[in-house]
This record gives sequence, structure tokens and C-alpha cells, in this order.
Amino acid sequence: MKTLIGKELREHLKVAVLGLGIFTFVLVQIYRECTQYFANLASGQGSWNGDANAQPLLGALPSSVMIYCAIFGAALGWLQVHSERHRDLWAFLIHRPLSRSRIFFSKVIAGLCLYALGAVLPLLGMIVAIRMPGHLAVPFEWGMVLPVTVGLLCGIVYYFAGLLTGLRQARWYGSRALGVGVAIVAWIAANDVPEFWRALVLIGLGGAITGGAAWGSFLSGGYYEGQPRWGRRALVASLLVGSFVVVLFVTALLESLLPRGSYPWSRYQTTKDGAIYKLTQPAHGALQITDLAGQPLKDAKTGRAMTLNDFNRQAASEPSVQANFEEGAQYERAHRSRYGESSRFFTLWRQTPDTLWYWNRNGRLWAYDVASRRFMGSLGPSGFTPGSTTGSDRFNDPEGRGGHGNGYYEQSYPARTLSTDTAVYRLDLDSRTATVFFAATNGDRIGGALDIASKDSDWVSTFIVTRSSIQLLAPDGKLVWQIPYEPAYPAYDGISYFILDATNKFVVWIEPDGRTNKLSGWTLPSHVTWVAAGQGALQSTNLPSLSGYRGWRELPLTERVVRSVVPPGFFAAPLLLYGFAALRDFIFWTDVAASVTVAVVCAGIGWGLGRRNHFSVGGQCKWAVFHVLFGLPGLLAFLSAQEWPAQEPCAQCKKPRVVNRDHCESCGADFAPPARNGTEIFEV
Amino acid sequence: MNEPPAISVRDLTRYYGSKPAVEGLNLDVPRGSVFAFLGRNGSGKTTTIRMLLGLVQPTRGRGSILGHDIRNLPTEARARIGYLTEEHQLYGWMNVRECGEFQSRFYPRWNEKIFRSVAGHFNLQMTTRVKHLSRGERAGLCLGLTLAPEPELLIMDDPTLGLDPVASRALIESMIFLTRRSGRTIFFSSHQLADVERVADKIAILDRSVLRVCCPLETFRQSVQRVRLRFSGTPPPPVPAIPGLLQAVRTEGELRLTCVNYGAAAEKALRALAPAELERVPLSLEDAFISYLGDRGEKSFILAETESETEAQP
Amino acid sequence: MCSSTVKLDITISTGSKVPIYKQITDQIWLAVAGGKLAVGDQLPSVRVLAEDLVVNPNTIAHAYADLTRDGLIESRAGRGVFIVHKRQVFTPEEAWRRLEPLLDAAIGEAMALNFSHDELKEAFEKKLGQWKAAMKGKPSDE
Repeated sequence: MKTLIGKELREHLKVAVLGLGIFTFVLVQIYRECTQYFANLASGQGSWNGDANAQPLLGALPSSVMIYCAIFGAALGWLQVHSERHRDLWAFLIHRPLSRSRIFFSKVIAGLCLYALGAVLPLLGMIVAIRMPGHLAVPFEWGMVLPVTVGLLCGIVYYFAGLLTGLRQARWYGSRALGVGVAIVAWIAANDVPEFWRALVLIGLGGAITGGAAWGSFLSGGYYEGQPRWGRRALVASLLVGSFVVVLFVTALLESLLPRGSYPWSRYQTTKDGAIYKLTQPAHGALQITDLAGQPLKDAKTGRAMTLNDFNRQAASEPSVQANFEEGAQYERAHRSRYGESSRFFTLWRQTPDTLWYWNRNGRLWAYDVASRRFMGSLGPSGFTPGSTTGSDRFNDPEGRGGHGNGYYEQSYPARTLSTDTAVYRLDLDSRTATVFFAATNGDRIGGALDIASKDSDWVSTFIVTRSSIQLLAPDGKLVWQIPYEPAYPAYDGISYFILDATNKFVVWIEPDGRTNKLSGWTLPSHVTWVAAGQGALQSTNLPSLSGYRGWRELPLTERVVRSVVPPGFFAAPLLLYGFAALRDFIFWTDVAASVTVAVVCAGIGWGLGRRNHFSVGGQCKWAVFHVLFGLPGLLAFLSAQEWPAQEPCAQCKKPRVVNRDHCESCGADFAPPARNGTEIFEV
Repeated sequence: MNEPPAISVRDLTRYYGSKPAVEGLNLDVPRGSVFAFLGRNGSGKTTTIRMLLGLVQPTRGRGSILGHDIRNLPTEARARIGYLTEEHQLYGWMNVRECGEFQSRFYPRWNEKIFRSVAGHFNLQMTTRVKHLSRGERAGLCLGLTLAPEPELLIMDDPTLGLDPVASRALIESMIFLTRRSGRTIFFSSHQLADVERVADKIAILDRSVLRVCCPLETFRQSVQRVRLRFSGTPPPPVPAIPGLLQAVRTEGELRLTCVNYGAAAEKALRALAPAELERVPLSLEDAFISYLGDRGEKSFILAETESETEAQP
Repeated sequence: MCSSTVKLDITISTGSKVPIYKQITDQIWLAVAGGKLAVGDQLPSVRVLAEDLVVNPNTIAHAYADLTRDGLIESRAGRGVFIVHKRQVFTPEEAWRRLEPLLDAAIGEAMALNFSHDELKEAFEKKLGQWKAAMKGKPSDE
């Protein structure tokens, strides 16, 4: 076996070296772009361009690595098989005292070594270059390596898919490449899931399927018959996924051609004069803007219904906070973004002429010297600790601050304050200090805080939510207004307020938590309070809640039909990808029923084909179960994998019989020897 | 010979699509014999060989090679079977010595002397790369690689195809050399009837995917007979239905029949036509083979009656 | 009586109407008749002749078996194959059947070359004389 590995390595070394060269070139370009970026920042010529651009491991690298590894892996796999496509050279390889499985594994081991040379090695070099202090002025954590790792591992799935494509004796030319479908699905899923371990599971599954299919096809010389059982199952699985990709693509194409209605929705909007209106978008028809009594809003000038654009100009700015009183660490986990997004690790806080400040997920602000690109120290509630990323305490995750402002008022960027569980701190980055701005009293806790800026001023006010109260503070620390937090957390956690400039008044909305509301059947109302500066609450009311997502049930019929091609078995996919929450959010029972119907029809077709080709009863049952689970893509996989033996009329009973069984299915007769024509010469 | 045959197949069949490439093949290759497998292009010879070696799965039927089931050849059996392919394909980037070293690591019984002597016989330089070898040199290299493990059974698919006469002769000499050790069997397919005539003990002929002949070489030659009947004056009568008739050629005054298993009954039927002369013409192996596998039926070279009358005038 | 192996000058051709084993027996017969091989000369072993002529050893064995049956050669255990006294194994009819086609061929050819009856007779007598002279001095069987 070692000899074979050596021969494979020698034979395909060129490909790996070529890949190494190309990949190194690409990586060097990315690295130089990054260092240039920081050099521009240092010289004052450039400006901040987004967190992901600073840390290539989370920005440019994952997609480049993914694309390169996919192409390199698939090419390597295909070439390893293609070089022996001549059937006599193939015979030379196979006919030796070594089992086919071992020959296959020798190839794979050599292939993976070459893959390591062409893909892993340059990437390791890149990571080392990024890691070294003084190269890039941006936080580094080993967790950031996960996205490119996923790309590397996906490349291995592509390697197996390349092997499979080269090995298969397929009738339809397209069906040769269906194995790549698994790799594509692994790629998409791996980039879409929230946690790394899920990505790992998906890639492992994809690799096992394509690897098993490649192994089986190698053993049988590319045919379906003659493979070991698990090879055949893996082959059908990979063809299934590939067919699914094709089916999805076609249905997406069809869907884009169909006339589509809109997703219906409705919500409230407060205008600058403190009035509240209701916006409703039905499935078919135009948007309607009505007041609380149901009268449509008319444009005062034209007399006709107000358009959305005009209305939005009237809308008041709406900063909002999602209150959360969990312990700091739990808070992070619940709202964490995907494992590959930069916002999970850090965001730029502020750029001063000589220092870059980053919010880091360990709760402190990290300082990097722009010129030397070295790490200086970190800032926490108790102060700045030079040279160390950790300290005795930390701030809470500002990610919990949400809110959008539109128009005149916006969330401050960069923010002026950061909060802990018990206090809100004002930051002075030039002197690297943090002072208490607002302290919660009597064991009260901070649930969220937000700084507001306006077009004229960087810092207009700070909005703070504690367990007992909701308040607005001016930059000098003075209270503008305060109201009690009722209805209370945790049923109600969405706090927003609308700024009514002209009258120095505010409209505060306390909204129920979406999940709790859905569970209660959308009965929890929104609580609205009008507030005046320096005075407190003026009046309040409750408005019925408008559910946002119910409208999915009103999709047009044609779209539902198109969606029904998703086979029943694949409804399990969201479970794997997104966890049990997906069950409630994504799956609707009418969709499932339509899908099962299509699957049963496919099972019927499969049954008919099986009967015509005299499948065994056990085989028919297994395929029937398969078709019911996997519907249309399953049928396509069945058709592209299965090899149909020829049929001939039986000499005895005249009924058609398959040529690969010794006994006739109908009468049990053997095959007659070929007819003699009188010119035979047989002698021992 | 009460040893089990080296190769034995029963009802071996392979379909490609709806047409059989090989159908219902029953064959026994005795141990120690040189067995030639003949047939026209596309008659199924290469498919049969690939089935014997487990490179292609049969559609139906079973076979055994050196006592092992062909559908499930154990790896140690492969060490005792040598396979020389039609196209003599090897890895182009290896040189001759590397080919030898590569193969030698797989076989426990590798005789380097044999490899070197065959390489020397074909004038191969150790450092030449395979892609720079001529076809004959490549054949010689493949032969060396196949013979060096001293296989009990040597299977060769058209070994002299495309070779110049010198290389071809060298290959046949190697086959004779191999028969030195008793018990070594050679099974080969070929179109070169001169080579077959030299080295084969038994032959089998595949005619359009069906086996029609399996006998010693001499039996085949003696079975295919050509008979010439001369008729004075009159045009020859129509050809009688003789069992085993392959071809009939009618010319002016003569009837030439080629048939198989010419016996007393056939002779009687022919004498009943009252020819002026009945003569048995010996056939070379090549003629016998071509007659056997060529188009069956009658060919006529008689001119129209009016023309022949005017010609007959002195 | 010499017992060294004689260098036989046998040529076989493939594609002939005559089987290979028959070509070998014919040429050995001719060599003996023409005096090139004498009684007691040793013929090459089956294997050596097979490799020399590049022919299956079984064919050589077949030829040697025929010659042994006809009484021309004999295999002596451990020592090899030798020419022995020719025993008359053919009946006169069989001998004539073997000779007749050769005579036919020669006469036919001569007529085609426009030799007259007498010229032919003369040529025949001349040849006989030459053969007699060549065989003089060698032990011959009556």
C-alpha cells in the first residue's frame, strides 16, 4: 500500500504544487490589502471600512478559501481518477494482489496529503502571519479560525465528489456530476448554521456520503450493480442530495416566473405629532394607512390616500432597547451571531488619530496603536489595564442595544456609554477612563441603555431601562423623564420611544416578547404612554397586537404547489440546522401534506418500474419507503443510479424475463443455451 | 489429465444495453495448455477476458479461475495470474527501472532476472520513460512485468497487436519459453493466425458473442474441408442442403463447397450430383478460419445464358 | 556411428496447407533420404527444437511421435532421440500413394516448361545417378 501512496503522490504532485502557488498568491494579496488598509489608517489617508475588512479571517478569507478549496479539492479528486481512465491502465492498477479497498484508500490518503500541501499549508502560513503581534491592529482569537476551517473541510467533501464524478459510469452526462450536489449543500449549510459543531456534523455527513459513494463506485468500476451495500446506499444518498439541489434550482426558477403576491403584514407607526397610525399590507392589493378608528389617512394636499414615502417623512424617530436582565454571560449566548461573523467577536468602537478601540466579547474595550499596530491594553468599568486583555470586571454586551432611528435622531456611533448590571458608565477614550454616569439604586438592575445622537449633535440623550423604571437622561446626567416599567419583564421586553420634537414630548411603547405573545395567541396588547420632559407620564393606553407572520398561510396556490416538491424527509433538515425552534417557525402542516402527496405519487412510479424489472419483494418495499420519504429528488436519484437489465422473452413461457437471473420469474426455467447452427466443432 | 482446469466457465453472459456481448459461454481451459481464443473484432473476446479477471461483472453465469470464483477473486490468487492488456498501457512518467521496482513490491515471488532478461531481449534502457517507448518496447516492458512474478496462468489480450515482426517474434518466443515449466497455462486472444498456428494447443472461436468452436488446433483444421466438384459442359446444379455447409461458390463448370464435419453422408449427397470430378482440397489454417467466420451462403459467378452461348462458339 | 547432435536445417512456414508437424516430419524424412541424416544421428530434444523453430513443443512431440510410429526414430531414455534403422512400415500401396503426388507435381511442372518425354527421362536418370554417387560411402539399407 505504501508503494501505491508513493506513486500517487509522485503522479499528482504537480497539481498540488500548482495549487499551492495559486493559493499562496491569493493569500498574499489579501494580506497585503489588509496591511495596506492599516497603513492608510495610520497615515490618516483611509477611514474605517467595516469590521470584517480589518480581520481577514472573518472577512475576505472565508469565501476565498471556500472557493479555492472547492475547486482545488474537486479538481484533485477528478484528476486522480481521470489519469487512469484508459481501461487497460485501470486494469493494470486493479489487477494486483491488493484488495480494491486498499487501492482506493491508498489513493485517498495520497490525495489528502496533496490537499494538505496545496490548501492547508498556505493557510497555516497566513494564520501565523495574522497572529503575529504588530502585523494587524485587530483582535485575534483562535475561534476566528473556524470559518476558514469549515472551508478547508468542505474542500475535502468536494475532493470525494470529484472522485465520484470521475468514477461513475453514468448514462446521462449530467448525472455524473450530481455528487457535487452534496458538496454544494454542505457548503451552503455550513455557512448558514449558527454553531460550528453543526457545520462539522453537516460536513462530516456530506463527506461520509460522498466518500462512501466514491468507495463503492471504485469497487464496482463505476457501475451500480456489484457495489457493496453501503456503497450503493451512499451513492443513492449523494445522488439524492444532488437531485434535490437541481429540483430546488428549477423550482426557484419557476417561482421567479410566477406572479407573486406580497407577504401580508401590519404594524403601528407613531408620527411626529404624537398620533398613532396602523399600516396594513394585504396579500394582494395596495398598502393601507389608517388611523386607530380605521379611517384611511389622506394626504392633506392631494386628497388621495397617503403614500408610504410621504408617510415615512412624517414618522418620528424611534430608538429602542430590548431589555434583558439575565446574567451577562447568558445574555451573550442568547443573542450571539453566527460563528463566522465578526460581530460575534468584536466591533470597532472608535477610531482616534493614534488608537483603534474595539469592543471585544470579553466585555472590555481593547486599544491598538495605529502606527505600530500593537495591542496597548484594555478598558473596563474599573479602568484601563495596560498590556492585558482581561481585567477584574467587564461591561455588558452592547449588542443587546438595538434600535433604529430614521431621520433626524439616530443611535450614537460611536456610543458614549457602556453599562454593567448595576451602572451605566461614561467613557473618555482619550484619557482611557470610565466614570459612573447613572447608578441603579436599591438593588435595581440595568436591562439596557442606548445613546442618542442627532444631526446636529453627537450626544443628545441616553435612554436607560432598569427593572423598575424607564428613564431618559441628558449628557450632563440630569433626568429628562422617568416612568415605571409596567407591564413588567419578562413578558414585555421591547421598549422604544418616539421623539416628538416640536412639543418636547415623547411616546413610549412597551411591547410584549414575540414568543410569549405567539404562545398566548397574539392576545397581549402593546402599552403606549405619552410623556412630557420634566413631568413624567401624561396618559397611557393599550393597543391590540398585530401579528407579523401569520400571513404565510395565505400564499397563493401555485406557490404552495411549487414548494411541495420538498420531500417529507427533508423537513428534518431545519431541525438539524437550526434546532427545535425551527419546527415552530418554518413548518406548516399543509406544506407537509402536499409534500407527502407528491412523494406517494413518486412511490407509485417507482413501484411500477420495479415490477416491470422484476425486483424482489424486499427490494420493492425498501424502495417504496425511500420514495415516500424523499419524493421527487428521490425518484430522480433512483432513475440515475439504477441500472436496468435487458429483458428477453422466455423460451418456455414466452413472457419477458430479465437476463441477469438464472431462473425465469414466471415459469422458473433456466436460460436455454444459444441455438446451434450445425457448424459447431466441440472436442475435448 | 485429471487436474481441474485452469479456467472453467458456465453460461457466462454479459449484456451491454439490450445486446449481449458474450452469451452462454461454456469453456474449460486445461492446465498446462496454450489456449488461443479467436474471433472477429467485436465478437466478445476482450469482454470475456475482463470477466475472467473480475474487471467486469458478468450479467449471468459463473466461472472459476485457478479454482477461485471469478466474481470474488481473492487477492493472493491475483498474484498467480498474469494479465497482459491489449494496449500495453503503463504510467507514462515512470521509467523502465521504476516500473520494475513498482511492480516488484506487490508480488512476493518476483524474479528480477526474468524481468531484466525480457527487458534486455527487447533492448530496453533502464532510464527511458514509458512515454518515450515505442509500442513494441512497451509491449516488451509489459511482458517483463507480467512474467517476472512467475504466474501460473498468463492471460493475454491480443499480445502482438500493432507490433513489428521482430517484437512479435520475441513475444511468441517468450510464450514458448514459458511452457518450459509444466503446469503453466497460457490463455490468449489473437488475430495473428500465424502465431496461433505456431503456439496454440487448443483453440476456441467466438462467433458474434456465441462460442462455436472449442477443440485442438489440428481438429479444427481437419474439420473444415473444401470440396471441389467439376462438371463438364453443363452448369453446376443447385447446391444440396448439407449439414455443416459454410460457403458455396458456383462458377462455370465448377462448384466449390466449404463445409464442416464432412462425413460419409455429405459425400454421398455430393456424389449424387454426378460430378465429373470430386476433389478434397487442403486448406491452410488462415483459409479455414476465414471460411468459418466469413459470410455464410452462396456466391455465384455464372454469366447470363445468352452470353455463354456466343462465347462457346470456337 | 556418431552420437553428437546434428544441426538440423528445418524451416517451417505458417499459413501453408500443410500442418506444421507434417512439415517437420517431411523435412526429416527428406534429410534422411538425402543422406544429410544418418542412422545413429541424434535429433534435438523436443524442447530445444521447439524453442529453435518457435513452435509449440506439443507439435514437435506430435511430429516425433509420427516418426517413431513410422519407425524412423527412437527415443532412448536419458539420452535423447536417435535415427534408427528404417523399418519398412508402409505397404507398397501406401508407399505408392505417398510417392504419386510428388511424381505428378514434377511431371506436370516439366510439361509446363515444355520438356519433351525423352528430355524428361534423361533428366530423371541424371538425377538418380547424382543421388547414387552421393550415397556412396554411406551405409545404406537394402
